[in-house]
Amino acid sequence: MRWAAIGARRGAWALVALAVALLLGACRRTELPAPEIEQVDPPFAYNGDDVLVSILGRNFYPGVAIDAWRGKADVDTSWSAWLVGPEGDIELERPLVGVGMRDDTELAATVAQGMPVGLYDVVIEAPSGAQSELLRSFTVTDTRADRLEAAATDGIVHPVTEPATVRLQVVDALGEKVAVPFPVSVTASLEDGTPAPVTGGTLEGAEKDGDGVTGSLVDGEGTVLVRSPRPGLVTLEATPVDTGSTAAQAPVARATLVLQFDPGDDLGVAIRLPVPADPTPEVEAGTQLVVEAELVDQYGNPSDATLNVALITDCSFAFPAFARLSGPTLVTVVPRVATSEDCPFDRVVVGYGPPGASALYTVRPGPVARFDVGLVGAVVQAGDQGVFTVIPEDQYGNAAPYAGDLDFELSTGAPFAPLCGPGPFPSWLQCQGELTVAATDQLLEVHGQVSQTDVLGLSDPFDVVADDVAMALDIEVAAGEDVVAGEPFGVEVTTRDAWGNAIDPAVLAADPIVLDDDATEVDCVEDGTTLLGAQAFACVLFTARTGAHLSATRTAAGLGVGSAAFDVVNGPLADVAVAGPASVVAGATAAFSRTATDAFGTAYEVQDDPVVDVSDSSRTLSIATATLGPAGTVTVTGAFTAAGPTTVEIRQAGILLGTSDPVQVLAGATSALALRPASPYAWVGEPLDVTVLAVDAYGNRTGYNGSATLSSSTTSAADAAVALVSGAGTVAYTWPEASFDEVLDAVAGPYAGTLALPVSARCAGPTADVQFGGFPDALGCVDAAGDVVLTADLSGSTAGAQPIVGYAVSELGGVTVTGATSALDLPLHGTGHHALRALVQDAASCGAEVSAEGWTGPDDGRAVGPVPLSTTAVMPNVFSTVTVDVTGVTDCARDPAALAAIEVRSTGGEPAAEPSGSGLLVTLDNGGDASFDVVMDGGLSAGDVEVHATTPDGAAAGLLVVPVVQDNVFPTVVAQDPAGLTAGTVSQVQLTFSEPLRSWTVAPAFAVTGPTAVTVTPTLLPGETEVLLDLSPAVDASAGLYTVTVPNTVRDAAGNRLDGTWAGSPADYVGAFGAGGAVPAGATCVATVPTGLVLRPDGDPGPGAEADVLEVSVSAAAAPAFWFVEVFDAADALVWQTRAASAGAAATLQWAARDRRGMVVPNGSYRVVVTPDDGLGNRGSGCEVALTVDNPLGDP
Amino acid sequence: MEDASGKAVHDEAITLTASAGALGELRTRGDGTLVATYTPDPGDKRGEVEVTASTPTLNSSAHLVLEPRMVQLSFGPWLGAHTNFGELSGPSGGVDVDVRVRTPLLGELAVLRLAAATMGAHTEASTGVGPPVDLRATVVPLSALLLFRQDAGGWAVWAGGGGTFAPRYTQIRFGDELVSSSVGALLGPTVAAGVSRRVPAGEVVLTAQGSWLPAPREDVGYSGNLGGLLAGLGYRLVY
Repeated sequence: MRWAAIGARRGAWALVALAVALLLGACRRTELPAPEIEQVDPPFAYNGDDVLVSILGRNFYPGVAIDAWRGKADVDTSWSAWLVGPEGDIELERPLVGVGMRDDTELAATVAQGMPVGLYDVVIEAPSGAQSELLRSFTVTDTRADRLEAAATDGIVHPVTEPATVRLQVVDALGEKVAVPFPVSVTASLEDGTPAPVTGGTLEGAEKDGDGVTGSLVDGEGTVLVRSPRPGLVTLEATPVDTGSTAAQAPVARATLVLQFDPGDDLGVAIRLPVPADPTPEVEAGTQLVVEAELVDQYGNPSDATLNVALITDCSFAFPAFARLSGPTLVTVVPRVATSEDCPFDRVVVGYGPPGASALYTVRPGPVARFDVGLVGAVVQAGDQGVFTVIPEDQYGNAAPYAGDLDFELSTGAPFAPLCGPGPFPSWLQCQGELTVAATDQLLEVHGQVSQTDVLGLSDPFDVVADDVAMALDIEVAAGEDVVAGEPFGVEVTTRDAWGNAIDPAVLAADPIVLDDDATEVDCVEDGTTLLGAQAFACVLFTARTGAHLSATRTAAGLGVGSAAFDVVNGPLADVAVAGPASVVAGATAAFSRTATDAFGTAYEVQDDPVVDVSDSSRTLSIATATLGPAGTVTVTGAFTAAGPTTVEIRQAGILLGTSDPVQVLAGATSALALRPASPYAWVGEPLDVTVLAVDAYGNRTGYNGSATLSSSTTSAADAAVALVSGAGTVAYTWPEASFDEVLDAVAGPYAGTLALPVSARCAGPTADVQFGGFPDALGCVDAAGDVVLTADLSGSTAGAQPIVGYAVSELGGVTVTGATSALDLPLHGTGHHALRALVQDAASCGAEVSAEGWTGPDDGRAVGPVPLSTTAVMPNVFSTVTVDVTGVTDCARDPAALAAIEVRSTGGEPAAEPSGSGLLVTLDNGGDASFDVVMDGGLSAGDVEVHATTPDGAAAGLLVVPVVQDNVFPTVVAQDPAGLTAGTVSQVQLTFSEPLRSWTVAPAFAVTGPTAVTVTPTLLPGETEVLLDLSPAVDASAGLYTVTVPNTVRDAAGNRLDGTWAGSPADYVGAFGAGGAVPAGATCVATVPTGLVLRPDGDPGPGAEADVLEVSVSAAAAPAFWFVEVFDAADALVWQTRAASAGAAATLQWAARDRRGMVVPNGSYRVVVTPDDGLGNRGSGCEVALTVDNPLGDP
Repeated sequence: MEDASGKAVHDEAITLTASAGALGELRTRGDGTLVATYTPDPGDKRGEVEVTASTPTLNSSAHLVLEPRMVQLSFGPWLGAHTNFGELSGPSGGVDVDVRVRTPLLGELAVLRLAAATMGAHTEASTGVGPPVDLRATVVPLSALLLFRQDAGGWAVWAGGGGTFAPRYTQIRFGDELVSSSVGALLGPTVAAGVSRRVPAGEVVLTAQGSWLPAPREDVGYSGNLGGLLAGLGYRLVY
């Protein structure tokens, strides 16, 4: 409550402060809207008199103060006004007198006599001090307006079709213009009193006012425009406008002006037919009609004018006749369109020029010149009646009567003999007959004869579709193509009507086509409709054979058809079984038989490509291709040259089709000796291990047993004998003096071999330095064969007292390249990491060596070279998240490995990276950089966590060691002695713990209970992992079962309590010895996952060797109480231990490839031992599984 | 919990019990100590409680004394009327928030009050030129007062003073035309007094507040005091 009160107090003050701030921001005085002047009436004044004016506008409010106590209002109407005008170079204010409010829209004021002449601004000020002004709105003159005057600017006589301009002025008594704005109203009237049109001219603000116009003269003058609709006199009157202002005005006399308008000269065209208009004459379409045309005025009188005109007819308006009219003129027009319901009468009219028209006449069609043929309806079905309209037309398209015979001809050539009769309109014919041939864009040609002249008509294209009753089927298979098993081929099935027309498959959708084959395996999908109306299918057969055939049926229609026989070619080769000998001697030939099948298991007998590529995993097989026989089989003979296991592989287009069982290639007869030095160079006085191998003609190590002698060819080094056992023997060879060109010879009976390697002396002299393109590490891009040549630059080496005379460089275990110059080309093979060595030697034979790292990979942008890893984490603990930075990864050309992926793993915790099934991936950015977290989640002891970054091909790698602190692993009891069935006197029991204990926690709580009471004195032995329990008195183990209890108050050095049950939580340990329990039945390891017994615990579990956890399935004759799982490394050290309660005689147990500290174990061989336990310390015989942990390493 | 050597013990199960009231979940702090929330049973009587922490081998108890609660915070509305003892009067209402203030000099006698109220004013007058003027104002006095409160049984009285900041909204019409509106503020001293009677979950109050809020000079507006007396009857929740 106290805190609530404090919170309320603080909140209240905050709200008050906020409200005050908002209000202060919004506060303002209560102000009236500013006044606005809109007009001053009158807008001028004669300075010989006092002139009262009205100032009109808005917001002319008084000030008001209301007494809050008494409610009375104090009203302030003290307005003021003044004029502002020029006085020399300055603007002077000249006050108006008698300013008073009339209401909130009008102020009254007086312009005092004697005000200087000029144009003024009018300014007013409210009681509140707010001002308003109207600029240049008031004129003071020294002349008084007396009357208006009007005068025509261009004479008083005007054409009736043109306006007259009248100038208006306001003048004083002496006729001098008074240059003030002056509103006037102007009207005009004809002689009969009807109004005449008047427009505003230059009047300011002119607008229509009744029959006249109002506006203001500007500077005392303006013009108006007057028109007359007919000849005669027009009287104009201009009067001052009554503004309705309350201000007094001096009277101004109106002005009157009389104008005269004369007749105009509008023209027309009189058109006269060559025949009388009554009765209505008739002409034939296409005949010439000669008319007389003449220009006349609007009163019908002939005109002397000359004018070009175009004459047309109402019905045939598209064909004008041009003429130049000057008096009566004959013009020929040709009516082309016969009169009809749409144009019942024709006449000649003026298309261009003054208006005019002739009398009416009619037009009849001309003789038939062609037929217009059209199909009634859009589509006709085969077998139905086709109805055509045939319209006889004259040459201008007018329908004309025809009474002759007609002949018909279809474009398809099909017979067509229709019956014809009258059509729906006069002169039209309608003909109908049966159409049987389905086709699109058919044409019908009609022939007739008029006056022994052939007349022709052709229809527009029309369609005839097939009948919808199926009467027959056709089938066509894979026209023009091979049928290949597994590949779609085309099938076309045509359904025909009674006239042989192909029926659109969509019409028969309710009765679908069913396809089958002789092997009832065909799989078809519809593939549209062909242009000829066949239903197309994409079908697949799977069994290669000859004489295959397809059938198609429409069940509802009861139709069926079979195809012609065709062959089905094998599909692509999919499997080749290879059989051959289990072993063969290198260089000797062996025969391998191959049996090929396609992807559908059919023998490769109907072949498309019988040639296959042949190779073996050692890449030494002497044959490269084989051709399958007609039965899909072939036997080939070839030889291998590389000893060891290999398999024969069959490929086609790079696709692996078959692999033989392993073939063991045995070494051939010994033919030579090969020497392998432990180092690419030797040092004077330092033994160098040289291995001598007996090899066959292909370099394979043979099983030769004998003795070989090594001798130096360039030094006085003593010969050395080496015994070759199974073709190999090693001897430590020592040189007494240096020789840069040393060649070591080896002889064993008839066999010999040599080895060239520099021998240098270790003495003060040169220092070695090697660079590759200016970098200490070598990076190279391999070619397609995996080869690359790197140039080693040893020029950075420095000479001692003597000059450097020899240079050498080599890959460790490879051939040494020597030379007298500092640049040496070093060939390397394969992708990955290469350990390099370089040597320089001076004239005194003093040598110096240097090491370098080499990285090679393909030139495709992937990472090649070292992967620099770093972290800024300081003393992370077993629960920390450590961010690891990857910086500057390059490709083989030393460009940033943009967007390349690297695999990461850690021996503690889990990297937060993208799982791929074969490793956790981190994608680099465009600069070859990246960051990722390693998340520790406990379950670890203090120690070094290794973070490895690699690529699958080993071309790039990096390692970061992150020391972590704290301990989150509970101690366990590793062993108890004695345990289980025990006889005799026992005075001590020894317990072994998984890690050192805190001495003060080894308390008397240790207990041994059994048939006799016993006092226990625990002693922590040196090393602090073993506790010795002294029993007093000593017990007779044969007397019964004794229980050993270790309380969970026992703690390790970090304070973690005892996990006595291997459950991952504090618990007492309970063991036993003495006469109790029984040895359980032995266990058998029956299965493992992965079966290959190779683990890659990289945090990204996958199949096979990519597994992160080993699962061992065990069984026993009877269920034990527990299963103990113990893991030992290659040195038989206990790596990990757990105990699992048994649920039966079989179980599946797991090991996640981690040690007791929770860290992923190093690469190597491990034994997983599973032992049954009866819970009283008696263990049965166990079983074990040997496996290999094989993780990618960031430190090759 | 510590062991014999004074080191914190983290893995022992601890049971916490109380003789009355309820205990919340036992939680572990970052420094290894344990903490749980104790909630007394409802009521305002004095009492004693014993809280015991137990492990299988150890017991430890703490003795708590429960005191009845005193009013620390109260708030609620009131309804009444206002008048400036002249032309302006009408219904009014508001909300008061009282927070107990503890000072070395006054102990817990003082109360800080934050009060909000509302009142209105309307006057129509002839100008003699054009349409009459119509003036309307709405005033919201926001007051901060230091009161001295004395409780006796279920009754309490208080009195004190402070200041008022009064936002004001004004509208001016000539005839029917709204020609101007504005927001302004008034400032002035305020005194208050009242009496209350405790009822379930709160108290019923009779309160009065007097203020002097002079109107500023404007084109059109009031002159004189817009404050006056606010009085009303209300109810408050009490904590």
